[in-house]
Amino acid sequence: MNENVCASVAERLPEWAAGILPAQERDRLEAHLEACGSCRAEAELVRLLREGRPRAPDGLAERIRAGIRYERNALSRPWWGVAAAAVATLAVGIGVMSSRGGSTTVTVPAYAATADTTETSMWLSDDGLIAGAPALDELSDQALEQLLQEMGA
Amino acid sequence: MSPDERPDSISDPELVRRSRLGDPRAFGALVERYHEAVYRLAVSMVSDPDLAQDVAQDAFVKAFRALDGFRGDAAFRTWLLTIAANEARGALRRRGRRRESGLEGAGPIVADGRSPEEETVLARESARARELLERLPEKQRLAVGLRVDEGLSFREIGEIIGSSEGAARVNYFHGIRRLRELME
Repeated sequence: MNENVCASVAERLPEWAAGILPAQERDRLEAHLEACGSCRAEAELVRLLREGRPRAPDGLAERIRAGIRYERNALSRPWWGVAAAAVATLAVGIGVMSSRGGSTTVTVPAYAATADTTETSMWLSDDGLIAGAPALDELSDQALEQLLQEMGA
Repeated sequence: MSPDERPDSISDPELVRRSRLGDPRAFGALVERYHEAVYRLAVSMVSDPDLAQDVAQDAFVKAFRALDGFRGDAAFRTWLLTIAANEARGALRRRGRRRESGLEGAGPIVADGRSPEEETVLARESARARELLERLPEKQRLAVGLRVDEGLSFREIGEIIGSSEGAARVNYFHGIRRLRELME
C-alpha cells in the first residue's frame, strides 16, 4: 500500500470518525480502508476512542454559568464594597461561633461560587452554616455602609 | 442577544465581542458550546471527575476575567483550552499528587442506531481503548484526545500542550501507534 496515501488517510481519521468529512473525501477514504488492513485497524481504534470520549456530568454547564454570575457580580462592585462584604461575612461567622459556644465549625459554604444569589436570603441555617452569604452581593452600597456602621467597623 | 436569537448560529468572535459588552447570555452560550471540551481535557489531565469539574469551572471564570485581554490571535476555543490545561496542572500541583486512574464517573457518550449487543461490545471496546489511552505519557495522551475528541489541528494542539506543531503531530502518531500495540 502506498505509504503517502496511508499517511494522508491517518491524518483525516478523526474527522472521518466525527462524521464531518465531505462526502467525496469520505468515500475515497473508506475505499482505501476496504483495501488496507493497517489503516482499517487504525480507523477502528480512532472510532472506538471517539465513541468512548468522556461526557461532562449533567449540570456542569449551569454550575459554570452560576460561577460566572457570581464573578460578574463581584466585578461590578466597587473595591470597598467587596472589602465590606468580606468583613461582614467574617463578622457574621465570628458571631455565629460565639453564639454557639465555639463548638460549631463555621464554614463559608462551598456553593458560594455556584449559588444563584437571587434565591438565597437566609443567613443562618439550622445546621449552623452560614447560608446565603452570597446574598451580600445583593446589598446596595448604602446598605453595606449601614451594616458596617452597625457592626462598629 | 435577542430572546429569539439562536446562540448556536453565532460565531465565537461575535459571542466574545458581545460578552465584552456585558451580554451575560453571550458568555453563557460559550459555556454551553465548550464546557464538554474543557471538561474532557481536564479529566484527561487530572483523572478525577470531581476535580475536573472544579478545573472546568475555574477555567471559564479565568477566561471570563481575562476576556478583555484576549486579542484573538488564537481561536477562542484554543485560548480557553490552554487556560484549562494550565488550570489542570495547577490543580494537580495544589493537590500534590500524581494522576491516578479514577474515571468511573466520566461516562462515555452513548451512540444511537445500534442493537443492544453491538452497543455492549462497542462500549466495552471503547472503554478499553480509553483506559489504555490513560496509560500514555501526558503529551501523547493529550495530543490523541484533543485530535480525536475535539478535532483540533496539530497547530492548535501544540499551542495547548506547549509544543511545536510538528511535536504535536509526532506525539499524536506515537500515541496512536502505542495504543494499537496495547489493543492487540
